[in-house]
Amino acid sequence: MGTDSDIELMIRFAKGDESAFRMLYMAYRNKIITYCYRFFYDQGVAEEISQEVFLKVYKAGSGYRPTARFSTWIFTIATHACLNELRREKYRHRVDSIDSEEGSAARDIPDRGESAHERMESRERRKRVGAALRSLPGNQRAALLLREYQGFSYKEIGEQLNMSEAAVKSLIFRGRENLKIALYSEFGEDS
Amino acid sequence: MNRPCPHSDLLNPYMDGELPEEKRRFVEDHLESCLACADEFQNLRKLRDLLMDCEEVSVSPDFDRLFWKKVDAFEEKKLKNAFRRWLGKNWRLGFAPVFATAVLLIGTTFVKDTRTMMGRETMFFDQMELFQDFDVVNNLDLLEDVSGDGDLEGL
Ligand SMILES: [Zn+2]
Repeated sequence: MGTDSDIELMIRFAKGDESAFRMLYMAYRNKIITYCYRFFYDQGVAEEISQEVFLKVYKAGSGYRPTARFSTWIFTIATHACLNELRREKYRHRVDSIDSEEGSAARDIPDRGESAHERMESRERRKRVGAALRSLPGNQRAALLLREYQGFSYKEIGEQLNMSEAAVKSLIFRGRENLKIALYSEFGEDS
Repeated sequence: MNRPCPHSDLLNPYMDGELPEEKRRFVEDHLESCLACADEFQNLRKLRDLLMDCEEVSVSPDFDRLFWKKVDAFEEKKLKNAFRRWLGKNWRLGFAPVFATAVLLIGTTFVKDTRTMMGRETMFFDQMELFQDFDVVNNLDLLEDVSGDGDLEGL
């Protein structure tokens, strides 16, 4: 997660120091691509959106005024870009073909002493988790990803999604309930 | 399925560290005594573990190059737009170089033409002298007519 020094870098960039932008770009590039990837599970889409995000940050340049943590701000841009992409027609046509490995940017986590069978099982499980995440409505997906992978607070997620903390709490609750239903095989019949 | 406990809605914010100290302690005590919540909380943690057990995402080798290309295109467009705006406000100044070039072109052409015309001008003046002679001859004829008229007057 970013620090307030990121705001300092963005202010330096706003004053014309392009090296400050390059530092921010390098610090956030993988985080934003990963976030977008978890949203769509498609590398092409994730990278396209990520470029859009960084270009927006670049264009914001001289007009940047810090109102929140830099990380909150850049993930707000990324979230809106992802939600916009979700609304676009082209994604709806593509979604059926995502299960193929083609769009995958994911690399297996380095060997953790798993057998070939275990590796295959965990790969299958990750695919099921990805499919379950993709089945969530956009806002639930965004709230959960921002909470679980980026560690944002309900308050920050509320700022990012432009809603109250109570609404975020409800989104996260419903998101997790839906994930448990989609991944019922992992939880057994009682859940 | 277990009957949902009235306190189960505290479990998500508890796991997310969103509860104030007092409520957090209440949930901790409650989890000791409520089987339904303990079960539900275990499922929430399992879900979190499933989400965290994810693959690393790689970045295409072309990503940086494509991004900076977009930045360059943006800068170029910005520069063009700035020039257009400047031209919109200072269009008279914008014409200055065009005007200066036009003056220069006309100027050089004019100097070249006058140089070639120098020879022709002497010829022109010679011809003017001939015209003047022609006038003298004409005038002589006129005088004859007038003398003729004069004769008539004399009648
Ligand atoms: Zn309970």
